[in-house]
Order: sequence, then structure tokens, then C-alpha cells
Amino acid sequence: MKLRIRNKKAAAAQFFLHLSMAVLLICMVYPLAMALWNAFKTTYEYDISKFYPTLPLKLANLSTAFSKVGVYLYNTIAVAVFGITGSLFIAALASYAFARMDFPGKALFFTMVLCLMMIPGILTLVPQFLMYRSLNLNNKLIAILLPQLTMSPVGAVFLLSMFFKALPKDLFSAAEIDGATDFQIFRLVAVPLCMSILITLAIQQISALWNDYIWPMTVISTNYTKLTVSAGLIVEFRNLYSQNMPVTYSGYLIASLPLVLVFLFGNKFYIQGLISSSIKM
Amino acid sequence: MKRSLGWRIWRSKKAYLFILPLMIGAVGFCYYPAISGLVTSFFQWDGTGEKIWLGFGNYVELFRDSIFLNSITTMIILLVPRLLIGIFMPLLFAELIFNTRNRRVQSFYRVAILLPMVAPGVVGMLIWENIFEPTSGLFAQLMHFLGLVPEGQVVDFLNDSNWVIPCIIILGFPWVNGTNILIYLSGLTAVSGEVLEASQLDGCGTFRRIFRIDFPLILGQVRYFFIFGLIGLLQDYGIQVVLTNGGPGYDTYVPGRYMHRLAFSSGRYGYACSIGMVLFVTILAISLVAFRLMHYGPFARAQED
Repeated sequence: MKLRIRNKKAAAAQFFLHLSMAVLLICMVYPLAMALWNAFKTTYEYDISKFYPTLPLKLANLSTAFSKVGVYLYNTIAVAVFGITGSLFIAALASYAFARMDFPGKALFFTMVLCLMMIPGILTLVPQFLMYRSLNLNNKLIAILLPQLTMSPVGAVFLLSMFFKALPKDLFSAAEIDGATDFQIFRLVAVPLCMSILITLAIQQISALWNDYIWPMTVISTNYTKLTVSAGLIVEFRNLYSQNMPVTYSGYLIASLPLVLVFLFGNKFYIQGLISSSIKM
Repeated sequence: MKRSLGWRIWRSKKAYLFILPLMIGAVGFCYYPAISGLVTSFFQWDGTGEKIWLGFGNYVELFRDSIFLNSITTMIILLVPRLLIGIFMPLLFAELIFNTRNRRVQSFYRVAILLPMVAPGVVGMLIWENIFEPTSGLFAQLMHFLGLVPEGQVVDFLNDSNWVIPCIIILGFPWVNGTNILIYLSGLTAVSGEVLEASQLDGCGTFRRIFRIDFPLILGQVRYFFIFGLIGLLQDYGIQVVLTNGGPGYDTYVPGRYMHRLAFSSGRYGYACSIGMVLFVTILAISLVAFRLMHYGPFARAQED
């Protein structure tokens, strides 16, 4: 009897839980869904029915929008491919040395890297801009690529070296006995074993690159065709009231598509990597 | 036999080669700008002409500058609710997902909360700008419906001193942050099943369990989000850049936004750098105190090793 009451109570609690989750998820999805269906409306339809989806779909919006945001997308993908591979390679190589090798000054160098985590981006924004300008790198795509290769690795080193350190020692001594060089051990033993955390870091860096607009808008102030996607969207679609809103939403949609792909393929690794790294918290 | 330092350095040349690319980036592109920012903050400089030495002049001016002083107040008003939201909303979602009995539905929830990550943050903000649109936006309709704004009255929410701050805080409702929810969830999953079962047998209700068992065990995650949320929000002015431009008037100016304008619109690079330095010192002090009080952070962990 008592058990049945408890079961009923538990079922009621579960019902309440699903209800609140459903409400919250609808609140979360609705603005995104609105953007999605409005991307395929004519301006007239948008004016009368923006709160719900209608047919037919005006697919021409997509091509109009692509002609506007395509160039930003291309820039971002180029930076993502070269910048993030490079950044993770640099970070992994150094983390491997910090975790597995012994050399004079190791503690000093490692502390130097850790201390950088205490320097906020806001302190370096203005001087960094001045530096790029004096090197004549502003208004060029390389001004967005270089921070990927120089600043992003710093943030990844701490986590990566923790993972390399946690790998069992026997693996490394076995490889050494087989006559593998340090770089071979790094490439063939250490990196494959840390693939899930590397993918997690890659996803984090891609999403940071996709989302950043302050640095791109700062360093690229005239030559707008070199902007990355977030900054491009602001420059292109900022003037809200004189705009063709459906085309704007199509632009948002196109800008998001590559991230959708990244998440479709990466969400499993991302969840796994986050879980394995946060247990160390 | 003790070998000489030179010999040991020569023998580890490979290790130096491994860390070389990282260290070039760290010294040349992270340390150098930070130090040059410090130096520039002592000068008056328009970016092209001659640098004029001011000593602490910029700092003295800064603490008499009413725009800067007001921007600090605005920052705190925006920071407190957003920090609390950033800590507790992911926790709420994580608890809801964790307490879901049906495994299938649970894994659906776990993927669903990642959904907003596929849209760039700017897209989210611009969609919300449209929600705040004065005449036909979703927020205006809702306010009419709730009677908070009388029918027929048009409020330009992002351009109205009374509305702009609440709007910035509401922006992003229900503030789903997939990454943080997952981090909480993994902390909760680490709570051992035996403990949970024992608590259930002893008649411990869900809420009591959350406060007595879950919360202490995920304190590490809560501390993490507190410290890094604070550091992030102290320097955040992203919404201001995209939506309000600091306005109406100076209503949404925060120090970061002011710094940005001083450097890139007014060309007062030295003065802007002094704001950067003040923020840096503030953030450093807060994080050192927080790390010390909470026994947390990379430094605490480095010592443990």
C-alpha cells in the first residue's frame, strides 16, 4: 500500500518534470524555429505571419543570402581548417613535452603558460590591435588566423598535458624499447589515445572562432570581405528596419549550417570529452 | 654523476623543439601585447603622432571620469543577475535531465540542450533583437498581453532607459548553455549509485537529496562556473556592441565598451589601455582571492601534482 502511494507520487513527479522540461525546451527552440521558417517566406508573408510556418517555401531567399554571406563563410572555414589544426598540433606537441619529458626550465615554462590564463582578453585587445597594425597585418585574413596559432594553443595546454600525464607509463616504455623516436611516440601512441579530448577542444575552438566578432571587427575595419562569419553577419544585416528580413534569416541559417554539420558528427565525442575532462574538476 | 646544466639542456633539445612553437606564440603574441599595453597606458597617444609621457595621468583622469564610474555601476547591475543565471540555470537543467527515469527521453534531452550551440551567438542576439522589435515583436506582444505595456503604446525596448537593462538580462531566455549543463551532468553522474539508493531507502526526498547530496558533490563545478563566469562577465560587452551600442545615452556603457570606444572611435589609445589595465588588475585580484578562498584553479592543482 505504502509502496503504491510512493509509486504514484514518483509518477506525478516525473510528469511534472517532463512538463517543465517541455516548456523550457519550447522556449529555447521557438526563437530558433521562428528564424528557420521565416527564412523561407516572402516579405509580405513575413509581415502577416511571422509567428508560425507557412507554405510555399521561397527557396530563392537562400541564394540571395548566400551571395551576401558566402565570402564570410569561406573565410571562416579557411581559418578553421588551418588555424585549428595548427593550434591543436602546437598545443599537443608542447603538452606532450610538459607531460612526458624532463628538461631544465620545464616548471618555469609551464608556469609561464599557466599565468597567461590569468591575462584577460580585454587587457590585450587594444595593444594587440596596435601590434597587428604596426606589422601591417590589419585588414588581412592572416590577422584572424594568427591569434588562432598563437593564443588558442595556450588555453588548451593545461587540459592536454593533464590527459597525456594520465596515460599509462608502460605504453611509452614499450614504444621506447621498440625503438620509436619521441615524435613517433607522440604521433602514434599519445595523440590517438587522446583523440576524444582533441576533438572536444577542436569543437570548442571552432565554436569560439564562429562566435567571435569583436576581434575581427576591430582588426578588419575597412576591408569587409576579409571578415569571419559572425562579424560579417553584423556588418551585412545590422540595419534592421530597412531590411528584407526573410533574406536576413536565410543568411543566419546559412551561417549556422557548417556548425550543424560539426555537431552532427561531433556531439558524441563532445559529450564524452567534456565528461572525461570535468571529472578532473 | 652530476652533469653540467649545459649538457642537460643540450640533451633535451628535442623537448625545447616541442615547446618552441607554443612559446613563440606565448611570448610574442600574449606577453608582448600585455606589457606594451601597460607601457602605453602611461602615455597620451592618438595612434599615429608622438607619444606624450603622462605618468599616472591617465589613471588619475579615469577615476574622475563620470562615464567610467557610471559604467562600473552598470556593469555590476548587469553582472549579478547574469552570473546567478549562468550558475543556476544549467544546474536546473542538469537536475531535470538527471532525474528523468526514462533513459531514452533522457538521452533525447541531453542532445536537445546542445541545439542552440549550432547557431552562432550573434545569430541568437540578432533574433532576440527582432523579438524586442517595438511594434510587432514577440516581446511587445507578450507585454501587451500581460498588461505591462498598455495596448496602443509603443515602447522601443532597446532604446528606453527603463527597459534596456531588464531586456539585456532577459535576452537568451531560458539561457540554455549546453556545455555547462553537460559538465554539471557528468558531476551528478559521478555521484555513486549506492549513495543515491541508500538515501532513497532512508526516505530522503528529491529536494533534500539535491541539497544534501548532489550539491556538495558538484561544488567543484559550481565554483568553476562562479569564478570563470565572473571573469568573463567583468570584461563582457558583446551585447552592447551588437545591440545597444552602449545606449540609450550611456545607459548600457560598461568599462569594456567604453575602452573600445575610446580606442577605436576617439583614438585615445593610451587612455583606453589604462582602462584595460584597471580591469586586468581587478580581475586578477578577484581571481586570486577566489582561488585562495576556494582552493581552486590551475595553481592549486599544479601544487598537488
